[in-house]
Amino acid sequence: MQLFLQRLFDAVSNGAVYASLAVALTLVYRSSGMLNFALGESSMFATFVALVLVTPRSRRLRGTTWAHRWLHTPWPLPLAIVAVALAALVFGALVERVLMRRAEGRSVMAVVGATLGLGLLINGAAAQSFGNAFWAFRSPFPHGPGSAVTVAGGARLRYETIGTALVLLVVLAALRLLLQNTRTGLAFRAVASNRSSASLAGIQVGRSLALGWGLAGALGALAGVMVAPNTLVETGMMGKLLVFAIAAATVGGLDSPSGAVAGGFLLALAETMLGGYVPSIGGDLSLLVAIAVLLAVLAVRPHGLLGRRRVARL
Amino acid sequence: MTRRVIAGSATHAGLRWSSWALLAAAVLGAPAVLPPLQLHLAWEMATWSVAVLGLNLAVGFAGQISLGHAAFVGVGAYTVVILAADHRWPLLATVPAAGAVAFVAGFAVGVPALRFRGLYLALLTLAVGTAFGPIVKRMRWLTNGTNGKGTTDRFTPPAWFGRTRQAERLWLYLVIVVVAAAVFALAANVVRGRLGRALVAMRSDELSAQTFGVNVKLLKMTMFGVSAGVSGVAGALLMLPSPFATDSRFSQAVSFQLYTAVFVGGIGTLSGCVVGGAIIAVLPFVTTSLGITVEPALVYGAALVVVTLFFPDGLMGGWQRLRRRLVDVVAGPPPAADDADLFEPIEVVLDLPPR
Repeated sequence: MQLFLQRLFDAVSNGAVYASLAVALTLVYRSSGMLNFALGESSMFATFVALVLVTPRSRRLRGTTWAHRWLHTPWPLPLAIVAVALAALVFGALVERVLMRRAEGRSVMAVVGATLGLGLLINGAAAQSFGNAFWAFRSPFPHGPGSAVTVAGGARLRYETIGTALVLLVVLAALRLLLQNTRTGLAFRAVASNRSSASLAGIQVGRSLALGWGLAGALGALAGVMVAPNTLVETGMMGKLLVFAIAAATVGGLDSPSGAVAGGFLLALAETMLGGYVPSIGGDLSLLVAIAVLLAVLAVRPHGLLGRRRVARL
Repeated sequence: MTRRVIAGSATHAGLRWSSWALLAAAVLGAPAVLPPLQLHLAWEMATWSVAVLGLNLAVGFAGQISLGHAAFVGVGAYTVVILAADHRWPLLATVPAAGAVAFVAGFAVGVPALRFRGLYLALLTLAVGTAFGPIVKRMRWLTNGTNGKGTTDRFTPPAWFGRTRQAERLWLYLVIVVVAAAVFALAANVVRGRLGRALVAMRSDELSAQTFGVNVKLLKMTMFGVSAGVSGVAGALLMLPSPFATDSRFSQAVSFQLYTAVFVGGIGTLSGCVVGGAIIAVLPFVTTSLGITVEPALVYGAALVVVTLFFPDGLMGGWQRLRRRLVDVVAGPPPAADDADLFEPIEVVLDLPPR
């Protein structure tokens, strides 16, 4: 029982990260029909920037000297996280306006090529500027041996887990408010549901697309910062996570944010439970669990758990 | 400026034969021109061309995205090492076996690919490619885990060819080039033959291809299998010079390099595969000899973004456009029909009564 609860809490912690990345993917997919393979790498880069902003001047981490001189770092962690999320928002919107709009409406190969290439580029840039070392990252929540709630049966629910889940909840609620209760959100949904009609109704389609990419970038940055205390900061930290996030978004139906959240928690649950109770799977073959869940869900519901059914007209 | 050449004319044939002769001269002359210690660049070029060809068969010709093709290259490489080390096969005999094993692996991945297309397939192959390393590490009894697996066998020429180091390298080069050329010839036949026409039909519209009698499901699985098999042969060729396989040699980074090479060379062209393979083989050599330390991901990423967004048909596409400016091959007039007399006007004398 204790072990089960412990695994459940781990699943919640992982699931929150998968879910936020998956929601970011659906934001881009809904507005522009593109799967953003660069999201993992841009989140990784954002996490590195956050690391630079909170690290005192050091010879070992490139950029800290510059940041110390011009930005008066080290900053407190919450400030750095907010700043990085805002910067990621602007960066995401810029990427859409400058690069990705050229790939819209083109073949799937071109879309995959463009976002994959962007991801490679960001990864290379990070490796070039920050090197291939592993860096510890402080959790924004109370952590350490004592900072946990002990629940029935002796399982420990860490404050970090609670915090990560809370951040996800708050962000999702804010996102929902933005999309459902503001004019900007209305325009975004109009573009997502029918682009040419939205354009004819006088909505600035480009602005909505840029908003989708920007929000995705910010969400990705948040996810990166939340996962960094567990994975350490390094250029490959997002590889497996992105596969899980894309799988989660796909399981949820690719165009539904709530489906993405459900998919994220479903995958995390399958990962920790199967990995925990079936010793031959363990932690290292968890990708196979993701593939299996994905195949199973798509075999039953080809459009995902909560996705819109596509009807082709001949 | 543009010179018009009629297809099938003597000039056209001459141009074609002379370009083939030029290519043959380049291939055979490479060992003479390259310094002996740099001959490996030439065979690596051939090897990576085959790997790029494998991916291009899936991406360019069958329209199926694969982001994990390094896994199939890896399957081929591990087949070679395992057969040679554990079962005492001669190295050359393992090459077709590597292709066959990789074909089966690709066919198996192709089965779920039937339900998936486009983005889903991209995700599935990405996951398969990422899982390759952990699976290899897990199957320690077969692959020797993280330490990598090797064999002490050396790929040596027959006695009549000579036994010097130089002869050994030359033999290696010749064997690799011949195998690569054979794979390319096979691929050209596949692409231009019945299967190729079925692929064109499938790419333009699956439903109408089906109504014309193309078995789309079987075709997709077969093409994914062939594509993986060709990549497996590339993995085998990679092992011939130094038969030692580790999982890190077939990581996702390699898959992404292959994907980039397909686009930079020219998606859906056979000659583009050679260009793409040459880039993968030569790029590290160029950067080190220029003394630049640059992350490969940076170069490949920039190239992939620029090519997909601005030059979608890649280097070979650009070259073909340039060539069309210089030499335009046009269809000649229809050949004179043998049975022309059928169409000769027949004189009919009508004996009409006067009005």
